[in-house]
Amino acid sequence: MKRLALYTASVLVMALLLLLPVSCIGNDEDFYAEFANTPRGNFTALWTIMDRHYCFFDLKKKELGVDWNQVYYKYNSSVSDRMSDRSLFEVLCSMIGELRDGHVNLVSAYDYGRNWQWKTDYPANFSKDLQDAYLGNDFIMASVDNCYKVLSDNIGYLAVKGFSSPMSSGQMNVLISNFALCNGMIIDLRDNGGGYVAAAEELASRFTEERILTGYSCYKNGPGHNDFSDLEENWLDPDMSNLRWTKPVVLLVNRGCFSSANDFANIMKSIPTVTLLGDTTGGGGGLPMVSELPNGWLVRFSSAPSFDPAMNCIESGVAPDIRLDMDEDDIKNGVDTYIEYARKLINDRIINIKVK
Amino acid sequence: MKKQIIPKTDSSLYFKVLSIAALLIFLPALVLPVKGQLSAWELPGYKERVNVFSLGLGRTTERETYLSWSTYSGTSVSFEEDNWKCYSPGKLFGYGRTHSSILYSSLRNPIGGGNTLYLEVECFYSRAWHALHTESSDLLVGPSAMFKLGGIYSGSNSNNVATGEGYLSIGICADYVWRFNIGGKPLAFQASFFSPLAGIAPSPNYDQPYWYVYKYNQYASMIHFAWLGNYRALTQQAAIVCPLSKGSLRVGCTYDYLGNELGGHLTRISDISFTIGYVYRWERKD
Repeated sequence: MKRLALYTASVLVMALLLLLPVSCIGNDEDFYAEFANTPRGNFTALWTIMDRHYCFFDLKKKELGVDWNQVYYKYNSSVSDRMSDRSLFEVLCSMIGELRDGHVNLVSAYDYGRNWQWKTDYPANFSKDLQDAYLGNDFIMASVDNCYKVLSDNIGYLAVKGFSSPMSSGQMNVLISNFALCNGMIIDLRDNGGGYVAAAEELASRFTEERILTGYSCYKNGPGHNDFSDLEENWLDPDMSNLRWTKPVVLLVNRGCFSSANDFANIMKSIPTVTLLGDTTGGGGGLPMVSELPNGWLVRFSSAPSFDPAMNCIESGVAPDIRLDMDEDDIKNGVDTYIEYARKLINDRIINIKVK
Repeated sequence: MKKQIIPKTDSSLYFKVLSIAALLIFLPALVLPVKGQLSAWELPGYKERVNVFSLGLGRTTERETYLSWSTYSGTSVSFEEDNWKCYSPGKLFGYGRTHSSILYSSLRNPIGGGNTLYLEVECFYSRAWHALHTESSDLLVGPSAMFKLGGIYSGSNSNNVATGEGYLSIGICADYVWRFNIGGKPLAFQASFFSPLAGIAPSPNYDQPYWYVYKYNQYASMIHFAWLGNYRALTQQAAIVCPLSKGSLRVGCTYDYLGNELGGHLTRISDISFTIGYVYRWERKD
């Protein structure tokens, strides 16, 4: 009898255990509910993902007057379940375009949805033809993104076109060796759309002899618009195991400097021997994350803001030390206003009296 | 807000095809001659050990809102190794039970895109009490320690391409065996259950980029205390064992589940696999 009771009990226990998974997977909260793969479902999914994860709503409200709840109502009436995918894509792109953030994109087969007004609404202040003319044919190509040469007045000129194909440590050593006898260095960062943050930091670490506070960072840690983690200090440590450059540097910046180029400009601005010359950078001070809509379109958004040492958000760009615009007459005459001004700063040793 | 009910189980067609395939594999074993074996499954005696090596083919369903809000699914392949040892049959928790598995899945989102890969390694170690022993059945129950580590790699997500799942925990394990005969052929139904109760599990916090974790040395912030309230995981096996002329054949299915809301994002990963394995009994020489 006792054995039968034990047997019955064990069978019941096993039956309960086998049924347990049903109870485990049946209680998803509404918060995580999936959206339908319909135009309305995709619209709601995009709005909700941005609402819970985008990190610059307060800044965008302050600078652009964007109220994300109002944005929902503004575009809600444009969406119906009968509309085509292409029309939906256009509506969704317009919706996220309100944020004017280069890190906010909608990726589909139709297009890479974007709003680049942060760049296109401002003077270009850069001519690739002029840059090519200054580099000539005898420049050294350290990587796809990095070319350099010594200009006629003994100033090193380095064009950093991106941070996706960075120089190796050895290439940076050779660069600094080649510029060793130069009076100063011009780093042309214009139209650098970014790449790896680590590459930007590694390059910057060659221009300081001491540890420098370059800003702060945090990330979204909850669905509320103001849910952020504690601030982390960003320090630039000198690369003590490799060659470093301590002579004057003029960093040429324009609105085309975005993302990690924006970070690079912010870091370099904290270095006493570096002068930023040109226009405010394009911004992109938020580290992006990517999510997905029910129809498979990818949505990219900023989720981790960065700040300069004075706690100014760098999403809207880094202001130069010296404001300058390209001169149209100079361009016609084959002269790059930025490069010539930078040469003058170095040759006249004006940089030495710059107080940071 | 229009919501879609999350698919809780995999398609019945897929399940049926695999069931029929499993039966086709298993049925010939029923007619094979058995040399002197009276039972399909007995627990190991003192210094004996029973091993099962299984291969599985199944279907994984995954949803991880850190990477995507969509549910991904796809085919999985797995290898499992189970073993039972007898350290001291007369003592409490005199049996040892281990389970190790490696599972690989290739997943796609509901519209058939967004290639994603999932790789999971899981190990349990249990000490079991021989709670029930009759002529036809055995029940082993005991505490277990579990190690589970998984990684999801997304081929379409450019900025946060991957995330990890893990669980180091203690839990419970149960094994049940029921021996029966069909047409004089000894068979056994064997079911196993592992479930962690509490432990520690890594997870990024909401939108915490892995770059932050690395740059600011925030590894400690990723470690969460996990228990049944915020982390459910289990592994279940149900199989029929049929003796062959040497060893036994085990055909069954394994269900593996992992679900949590750690770090403010939702994780649900489940896999159901049909397994075919070889049971092998031997004497330990230690």
